[in-house]
Amino acid sequence: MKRLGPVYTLAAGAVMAVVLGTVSATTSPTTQNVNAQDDTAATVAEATSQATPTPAAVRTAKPTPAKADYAGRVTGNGGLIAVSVRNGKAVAYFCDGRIEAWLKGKAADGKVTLSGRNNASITARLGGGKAAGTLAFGGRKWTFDAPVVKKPSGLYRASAVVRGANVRAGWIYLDDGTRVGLTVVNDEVADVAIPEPGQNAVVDGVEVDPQDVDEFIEGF
Amino acid sequence: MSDTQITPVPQRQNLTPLLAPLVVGGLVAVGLGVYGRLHAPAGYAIGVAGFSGALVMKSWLTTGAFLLALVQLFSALVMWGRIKLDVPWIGTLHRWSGRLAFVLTIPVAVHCLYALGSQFDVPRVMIHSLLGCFFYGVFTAKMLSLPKRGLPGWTLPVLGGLTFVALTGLWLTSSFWFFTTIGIKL
Repeated sequence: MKRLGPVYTLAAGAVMAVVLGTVSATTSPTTQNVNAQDDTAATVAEATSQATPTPAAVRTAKPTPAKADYAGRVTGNGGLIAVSVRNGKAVAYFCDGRIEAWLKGKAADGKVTLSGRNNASITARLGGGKAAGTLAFGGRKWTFDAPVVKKPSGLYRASAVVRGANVRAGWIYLDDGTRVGLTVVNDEVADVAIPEPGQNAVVDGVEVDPQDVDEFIEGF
Repeated sequence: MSDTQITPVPQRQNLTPLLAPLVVGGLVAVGLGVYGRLHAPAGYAIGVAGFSGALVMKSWLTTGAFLLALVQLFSALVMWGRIKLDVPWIGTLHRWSGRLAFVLTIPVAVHCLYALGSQFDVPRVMIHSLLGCFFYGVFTAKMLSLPKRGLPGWTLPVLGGLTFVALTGLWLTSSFWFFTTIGIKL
């Protein structure tokens, strides 16, 4: 018994990992969100019986990706936009190098709706490998068509304290090499070079690590 | 009990019993790394409830494991007579604090591997990914070495020490980073 103790420890850990992994796979958030958003289907299912909702009821909701990154140009204002979806949560960033807007919101039913400070808002449909929609900002509206992008393209954000100053930055990289970004130090735009994808930005001589969406969405 | 009592002429060390634990440990480390690279990150995994977010949960579980690792280091030093302390239950403390620490790391590792995968874009993340794979490899080797007879005397201290160093590195590149850059939250 004692001699096999360490082996049991390892086995217990492996079993735990397998169980957690299996449960994670079976409760994938794509279906969770669809069920949660589709109120009518849920009510019907509850009213008829306590059985699991029929697949037909689930299918009425449009599919929403659990994880997707979109980035592209905004038509007519020279800025870039990035929209990212993680498990029903959505973040977006618009920037033209002088003006920026961070937005957050929800992804459900094949759509994202986001809002940010100064009445900035975004609505977009997700599908066909892109997010297509409108950006409203400062009393004006633009449309955009942002295709799916893969790392190192996409959205990055940094927040740090450098020599006592609050630093916040956002960057968008497109597949064709276009990039835009803005670094704000204590609420003032700072002259900081856009880092190469995967490299750190240098603010006041201190390296600041750009975080990808997976890293920053929790604290956003 | 001074060091001079150790056999002055060491017999020829037989390293063969060490082979199986090291090979299995190596396979575990490589296997985890390959899985983390090949599996498409799901962005989501089941964890321990009661925290405001997955990263917060992971930061605290890792911190718990790290504190238990300090208990591990201390109890190991007592067991090997480096700290003179007469506590008969020190072995039990070592075994169970180790098991608990290992169990605490499992939901964290599942989230890392299933939801995020191994990534090499940023030094911190790269070090963390590699250390994570190394940690489970060396821990497996340590566990499999424990019941073996006839191992070189340095086996357990070295493997245990490496496990401790790996976990410390993992804590520094995750929880410590999270608490200092994002903040201490529950």
